Amino acid sequence: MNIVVDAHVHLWDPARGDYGWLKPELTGLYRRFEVQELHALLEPAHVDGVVLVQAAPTAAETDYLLGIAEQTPWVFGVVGWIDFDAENVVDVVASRARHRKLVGVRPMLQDLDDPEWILNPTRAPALTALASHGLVFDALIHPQHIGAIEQIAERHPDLSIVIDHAAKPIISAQPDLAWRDGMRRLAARNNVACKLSGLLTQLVPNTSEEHVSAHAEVVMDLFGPCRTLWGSDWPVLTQAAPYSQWFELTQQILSRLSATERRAVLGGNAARIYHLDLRAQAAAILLHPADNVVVCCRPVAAGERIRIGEQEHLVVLDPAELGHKIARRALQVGTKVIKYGASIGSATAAVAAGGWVHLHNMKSDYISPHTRALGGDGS
Amino acid sequence: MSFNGFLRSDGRKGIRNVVIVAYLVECAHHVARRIVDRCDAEDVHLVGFPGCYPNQYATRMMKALATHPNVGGVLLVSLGCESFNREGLARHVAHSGRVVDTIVIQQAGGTRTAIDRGVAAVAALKEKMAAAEVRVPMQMNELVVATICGGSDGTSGITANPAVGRAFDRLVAQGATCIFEETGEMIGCEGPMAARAATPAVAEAIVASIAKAEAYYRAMGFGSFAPGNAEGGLSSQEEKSAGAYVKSGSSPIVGVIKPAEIPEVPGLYLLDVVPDGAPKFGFPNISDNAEIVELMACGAHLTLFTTGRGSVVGSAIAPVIKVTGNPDTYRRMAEDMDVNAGRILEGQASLDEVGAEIVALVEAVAAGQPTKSEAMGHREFILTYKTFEPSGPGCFPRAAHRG
Repeated sequence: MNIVVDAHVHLWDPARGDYGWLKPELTGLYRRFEVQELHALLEPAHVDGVVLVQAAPTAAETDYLLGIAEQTPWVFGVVGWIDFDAENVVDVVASRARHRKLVGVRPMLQDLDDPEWILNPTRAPALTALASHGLVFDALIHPQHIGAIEQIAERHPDLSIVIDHAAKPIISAQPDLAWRDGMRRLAARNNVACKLSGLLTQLVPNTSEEHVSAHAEVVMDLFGPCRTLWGSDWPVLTQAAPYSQWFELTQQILSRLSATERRAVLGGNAARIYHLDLRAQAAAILLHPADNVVVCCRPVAAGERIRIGEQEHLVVLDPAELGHKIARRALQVGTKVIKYGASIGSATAAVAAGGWVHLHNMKSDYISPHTRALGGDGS
Repeated sequence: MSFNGFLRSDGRKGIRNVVIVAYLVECAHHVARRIVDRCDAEDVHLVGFPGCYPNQYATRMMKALATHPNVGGVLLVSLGCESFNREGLARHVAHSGRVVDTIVIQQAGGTRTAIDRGVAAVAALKEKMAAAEVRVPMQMNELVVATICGGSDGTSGITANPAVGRAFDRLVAQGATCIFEETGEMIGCEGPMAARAATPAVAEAIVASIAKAEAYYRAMGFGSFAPGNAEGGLSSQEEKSAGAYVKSGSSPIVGVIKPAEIPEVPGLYLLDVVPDGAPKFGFPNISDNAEIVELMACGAHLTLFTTGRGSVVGSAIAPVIKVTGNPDTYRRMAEDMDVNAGRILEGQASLDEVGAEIVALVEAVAAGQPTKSEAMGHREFILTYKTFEPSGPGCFPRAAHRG
C-alpha cells in the first residue's frame, strides 16, 4: 500500500473552552486550527490523510472531532477521549466503537498527578473493552510513565498500545540511558508501537537538531519498521518548526530503510494498527480496469493529488465537478476515450494525464442508423 | 438460494400471492378503485386499461399480467359496453388455473351494487386461493428480475447503475432470468451490445431495436443528447447511453423480447419497449411505471429501480427495490430508498459490495420481505395504447418441447 498517513495531528478551537492546557500565553497555538490550513500543508508533502487526536479531556471534544472526520474524507481516523471512571465505561466504549472513524482513545496521562493512575484495577474494564473492540490505546506519557504502560501491555496482551511522541524525552544531548532502557522494555512487548513524532518540540532551545535524529534512530532501532508510525504532532510542531521541516528531517532518518519499510512507517503501520478505512479518500472512481478516464466522486481542484482505488494516484490538472471525467492516461488526438470499458468517443486535442476530458477536447464517434442509412459519416 | 414460492397450476411460481382488481375501461375505474379501497388489504391490487377502443397490445398485456406468477386471483370490472374482450380474458385466466370473477357494472345495476358485489367477490376469491394455496421451494433459476432507471442524475451512471450491473452478473451466474430495457436510452451502445449477443440473430435484433428506437425518438423530437447532460459531465451520446446500459452487467445477452413475451430459459434479456411501425400513440412509455408494467408482463417477479433524484414509486403485482446512487438523496429520502449506492461515492463501499448487497436484498424480498415502497402501499400501474409485431424467430431462445 502506497499511502502516506500523518498518524498524529490536532485541530482545535479555543472558543470551545474545554482544553484546559490551551491558555492564551501559548502564543502561536492559542487560535483556531482548521482543516483547510492542515490540508494546505499535506498537499505539498504528498500526505494522503491523517489521524486526528484529541486535545481536550471531554466527550464533547471527541464529538467535535468525529464531526470534522465525517465531513473530511482524508481524516481517516480519530483518537478520542473517554471517561475511564464512568460507571458505564464498557457501554461507552461499545457505543464509541460503532463510529467507523473512531479508531482509538487517549486519556491525558501526562497531565495526571499519579503516574500509576492507569494501573488502578478500576480502570481495567475500560482497557479490556478497548481491546475487544479493536480500539487503540494512545499513551500520552513522559518517561516516568513508561513502567506503568509496560505493566498495562503485560496485563492486556490483546490491547494495541501506541506510545505518542516516543514518551516525550527531554532532548538536549544524546539519548539518555534511562529513556533508552524504558523504550527497550516497551518495544519488547509486541502489542506496543511508537509514534515517530513530537521530537522537535522536545528539543531544548539552542541545542543541536542532530540530537533529535539520534533519538529518532533509537525509536527506529527498537520498534523497527513494522511498529513505528510517522506523525507530525501539528500544530504543536509549529512551536519548533514548520511542517515541511519535520517532514524533510524524518525523510532523511527513514532514508536508510528499504522502500517497503519506508511505506510501512509512513502509512502502512498506521493503517494496520488503527484499522483505518483508507477507501474514504477516493475522489474519483475507475469504472472499468480498461478505462483511460476516471469519474469524479466529488468536485476536485487543480493541483489536487487524488487517489484512485488502492494503488493509483493522479494529480488533477483542471478543476472538475462531480460526474466529470479526468484523463487517467495521456490522450493523443484521435485516441478513443474508454469508460465502462467501452469507447464513448475520441479525443480532439491532446490531453495530459490529470486533464479534464469533456466537449472541448473529445467528440462523439456515434453515427446514427438514420445517418448511416443516408450514407453520411456523421460529421 | 431457496425459499418458498406460490405454485400456480400452470407450473409457474410467484413470490407474492395477490388478487388483482382490473378495470377494463376508464369508465369502470372508479368502481374498481372503490372495491380495492374497501378491501384495504396489502394483497389486493388495482390494475386496468383505460381505453374504450380495442388494442391487441393491451389485450396481450392484460392476459400476461392477469396470469403473472405473483397473481393468484383476478376480479375483472367491466362497464359493459367497452370493446375489451372480458370473456376472453376471463377464460385465459381460468385456463391458467387461477380463480377469476367478473363484475359488469351495467348488469349489476350501477355503482353501489357493483362495488358491494366486487368486495364480496374479492373475499370469495381469497377464500378459494387460501384453500388451494401450495407453497413449494423456489430456486434462483425460477426467478425473473428486471431493472429500470428513473429520475437519473450525474451519480446514476457511476454508482447505482453499475452496481445493479454487478448484481445482474451475480444473478445471471446463479441461474436467474434478468431483463433490462429502454432501447431509447441505449442509442450509441448497439456496437458493444451486439458484441455480447449469444447468437448472430440476437445481435441483429439488438441492432434493429436500437435503430427503431433512434428513428422513433427522432420522430417524437426527443432522444438526442441534451445540454443538461453535458453539465453533468457527459460528453457524448454513447457516454450518456453507456451510463444506462451498464445496468445490464456483462453477461451474454441471450435474447431480445417484446412486452408480454415471457423468457423460457434463464439468462439476460433486452426488452424492446419501442413500438413497431410508424409512430402512432405518442411516446413509447409515458412514465416509469409503464415500463415496469411491461417488465412484469414479461414475468418479472420484482424490479430493481435505480434513481438519482429520488423516485418514490412502487408497483402493483411485483415489488420494486429502489437503489439510489446519490448519497444526499438517500439521506433526504431514506424512507423510500432500499439501497444506498451513494456509499460508493463516499468511499464507503465498492461497486461489487453494493452489487452483493442488492443480490442479498433480492433474495430477501423474494422470500417475502416487503420493499420500502411495498410497505408504504405504493401500487402504481399504468397501461396505454401501443403497437407491436410479435418477435421473429431467433430473437430469443425457446425451451425444449415440454410434454
